[in-house]
Order: sequence, then C-alpha cells, then structure tokens
Amino acid sequence: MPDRITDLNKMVIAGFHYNRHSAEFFSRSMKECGAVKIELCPYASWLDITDRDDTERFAALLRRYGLRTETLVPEYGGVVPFNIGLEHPDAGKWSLLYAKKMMDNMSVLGVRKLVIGAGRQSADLPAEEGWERSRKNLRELGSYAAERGICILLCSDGGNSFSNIVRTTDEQLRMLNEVGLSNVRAYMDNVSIAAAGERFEESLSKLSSSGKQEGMIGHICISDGPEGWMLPGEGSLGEEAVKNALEMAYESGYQGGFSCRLCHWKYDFTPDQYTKKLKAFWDNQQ
Amino acid sequence: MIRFKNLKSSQIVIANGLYWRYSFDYFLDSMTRLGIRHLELHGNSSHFPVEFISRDGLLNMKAKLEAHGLQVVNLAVDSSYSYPNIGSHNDKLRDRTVDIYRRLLMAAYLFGAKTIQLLPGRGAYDHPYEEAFENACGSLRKICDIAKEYGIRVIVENSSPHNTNVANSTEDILRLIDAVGKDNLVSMLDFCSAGRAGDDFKTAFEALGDKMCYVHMCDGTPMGHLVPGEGNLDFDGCMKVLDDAGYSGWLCYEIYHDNYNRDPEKHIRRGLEYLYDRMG
Repeated sequence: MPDRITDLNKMVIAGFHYNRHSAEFFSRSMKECGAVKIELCPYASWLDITDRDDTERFAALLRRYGLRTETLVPEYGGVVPFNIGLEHPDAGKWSLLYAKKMMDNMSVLGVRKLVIGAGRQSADLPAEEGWERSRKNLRELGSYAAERGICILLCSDGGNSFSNIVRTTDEQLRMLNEVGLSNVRAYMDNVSIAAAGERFEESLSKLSSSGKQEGMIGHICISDGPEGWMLPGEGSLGEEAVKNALEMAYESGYQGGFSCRLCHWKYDFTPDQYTKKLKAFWDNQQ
Repeated sequence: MIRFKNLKSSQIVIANGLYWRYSFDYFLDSMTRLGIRHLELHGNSSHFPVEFISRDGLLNMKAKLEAHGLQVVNLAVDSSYSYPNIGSHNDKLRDRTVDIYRRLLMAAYLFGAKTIQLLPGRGAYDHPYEEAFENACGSLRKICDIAKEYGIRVIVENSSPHNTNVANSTEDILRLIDAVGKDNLVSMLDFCSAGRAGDDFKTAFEALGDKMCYVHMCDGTPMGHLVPGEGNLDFDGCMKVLDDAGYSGWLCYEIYHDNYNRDPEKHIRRGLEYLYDRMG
C-alpha cells in the first residue's frame, strides 16, 4: 500500500462519534492520534455554527490543538432540521437561512467544503416536486457559496434515511448536472454507495466519466459499513473492500482528501479508543 | 389473555414520530382511518418544525387538526440527540434549546394541549455529572416558568444512558424534579426506559405518586420501542399495574423501530388490535 494512504495531508478524521463528549476531549483525542485535518459535525453540543462568537471560540480551540477543518457536515438526520427538499413552506426558507449563516461563519474556521444532502420530501407526495425544490435550493446555495469561495459537496443517501431525493450515484450525477455550478460537486461515500446496492468502482467510474473528474468529485469518505460508518473490519463490507476503495480512488487519479468516519452507537461512549484503532488500521497498511 | 378492568381505549394517544417519512396530511388521514382521537405531536419532525414554523404554519396545522376532529394532548421535541439539549455544556445551545421549548409551549397553548414533554438532557460525558445536572435544572426552571404562564405542565422523562447522563431511572428523575423545585414539573413512565433502568414498574409507578402524568406503552429488548409481543418486556404486566391503580391518564402507544416507519399505519394498527383485545 502506497505511503500516500497514511499521508496526513490527505486523511481527514470525522468527529461524529464524539457527539457525547466535549470539543476539548475531541480535539485532544485527535491530537493524540496524530490527526491534522478533521471533518466537523457541529450538530454535536460543541458549537452553534450560526453564531459568530461561538464559532470563533471553537476555532481558537482547534488552533490550540493544531487542527484544521477540512469539511463541514451540518446535518444529522433531522437533528438540526435542515432540509432543502421538504415541502413544508417554512422549511425551505429556514434551511436556506441556516445554510447561509453557516457559510458566513465558515471563514472563521478556515473551512471551504460544506457537505449537505439533497433533503427529504414526504414519501406520499410526487417525487419530482421534491427534486425540483431541492435543485432550486441547491442552486441558490451554490451561488451564495461561490461568492465566498466555498465548495458545496452533495452527498447521496443510499440508506434512504436522510434523503429520498438523491440516493444513488445516478441521481447524484443528475442533480449535479442540473444544478450546473462548478463549485457544487460530489461527496463520494462508500457506505452510502453500498447501502444503495451499488459498487464503489461503478460509482467512481460514473462520476469520473464526464471527463471532469477532478471537478465532479470534491471529497471521498471511506469507512466500513453499511450498518453505519464502521471501523474497518466491523462492517459487512470488510477490510479488503475498504482498502480497495481507497486504492481505486487513487488509481483513478483522484488527488483530494479522504474522510474516515465512525458513526454508530457502539462508538459513542469511548470514541477515543476507536479513533486510535482507526488510525492504527491505516498505519498498518504501509 | 389478560382483560383490563379500568384502562380504556379512549385513553390511547398516538404520536406522529413514526410517520416521519410521510406528510402531515397523510398522518392525519391515517389517524382517522385508525379511529384515533388523541395525538402527541413531535416538534422536530417534518410535520411540525417547531424551531422555525411560522404563525401561519401553526394556524394551518390547527385547522387541519380540527377538520379531522383530532385533539393534541401532548407535545414533545425528540431530544435524544445532542440538540436540542437542556443539559448541554454549551451555553448558546442551551439558550437555543430553551427558545425551542418556548415555541413548543406557545404551540401547545394554541392546540389546547395541557402538557409538553422532554428528556433530561445530556452533558459532555467527559465533564462532571453534576455540571450536566445543574445545567438541566437551570433550563428546566426557565421552561417551567414559561409553561406556568400558559397553564401547562412539563413532563420530564428518564431515558437510557445513551440518551441522557442526567436521569436514567425513576429515582434519578425524582431527584431532578426535587432539585428544580417547580410544581408544574412532573414525570411519566416509558416501558422501555423503565426496563432499561432495571426499575420495577410497580415500584416506580408508586414512587412517582402525584408526579405521575403520562405513559409511553411499548415493548423492547429492553429498548427499541417495539410493537407489543416483539420484545421481551412484561408489557401486560406494566399495563396491569396501571389498570390495578385505576390510572386514568393518557396512554401513548409509541413505537419507533426502523422496521416500522415505511408502513407506520400497519404497525400502529397491530399494536392497537393488541390493546383493544385487552381493553374496554
């Protein structure tokens, strides 16, 4: 396995599993593991990302531990009711306002990648209405983001829990093409791809086939799963599938970063132990 | 089969949480099909986004409820995640949480509900327990004071250690209620939470006394919020405790498992049939 896999400049460790611990604990744990870049999930009780003062406080904490935020993932299945696809007339307005406030504060953290889903509409309503609503809102957010040098990364939800609008790679590609903004790209997540019954290799090929590979894939998340985002070896995909996904991405010419995410209730009480195991897994591949 | 002498089907309440994949209209129509009259509404669902729903949005909901002949008896916001969170160590998020409950109380008053319900919150697990406890007490005092202006009671529910590190058992919740010191703060029993805490249901019921206000009926292993018969809790035993005591409050049939949410009406119906077979 090439050295680049454990290149700390490419590995981004996500903090979902620290949601029951403090930001200080999370930061210290990241530092002890040798992490530099993090995927920040502000839904945890760490900060109110729409509040400037709170964001500055949090940014100071990360600087103290030498950490940099690579990607921001504000949603967690309705915990923060951010939903750009929902038919409720107030949801769209609020979601857009929330996202814009968040983008206004992202510069404080020095983060330029915002990961969002296409949202979810009620299943008893015509699917195309949700699609059009989501596309319209993504365009608006994309334009707002472009003015701030921010890249929006659209993720799919193969498990159909958080989004029933973009679930597969085909839907992700269709939405990206219809939005048509160069700063709205794909967040590839091998767990979501597996949950949709797809193969990572095929998804990679589809998102690369337009010839705009570097532009279409903005970031990749690789974990075991799809029961959750699991430690390699603890999900149904298995260690080999996880390693192969990373290798395939490199071979395709992908030059961007990789998020390694743990998100499952079993990790919540001792997240630092599992982060060490995650880091050790990738270190042992050399 | 056990037959209850006192518990009535008219005490049954259904919550909208399981219908999160569907529209509010679908949920209301489903309640009509099921013959349900009384509802618990969750304020972080797509039906009722309490954090930002407009006045028109609330009035629209009220009109639809009335058109269906449905009565809202309790409102809640699922606080088993990190937000909203009355025990959060982040002051700003705690303030936002109190604001959410302020809005929930306003909605409760508009709908005619007499209670709102919440979990005790969760402080950082690497911080002292007492910090989370004191933060939760502070938030609860504020929420109870607002509730008092509306004549509404606040139900605080103990839950599993995964959801809260403030109150996991009935003993914990009574300590919390005592510390908060507000007469409109009450509690309830959830079959799964009681099972998870290892509480004897009858003992817990008696300990709550006049603070006992509400029930979540569900099976579990011990958590899970399952249809009766699909878990290993003594569902009928818990119901018998309530029946023997002549409990006349609301009985919310609350199931949540991922296996149910794609066809919620089917699984609600299964539970109702189980209950109707045993009730008057």
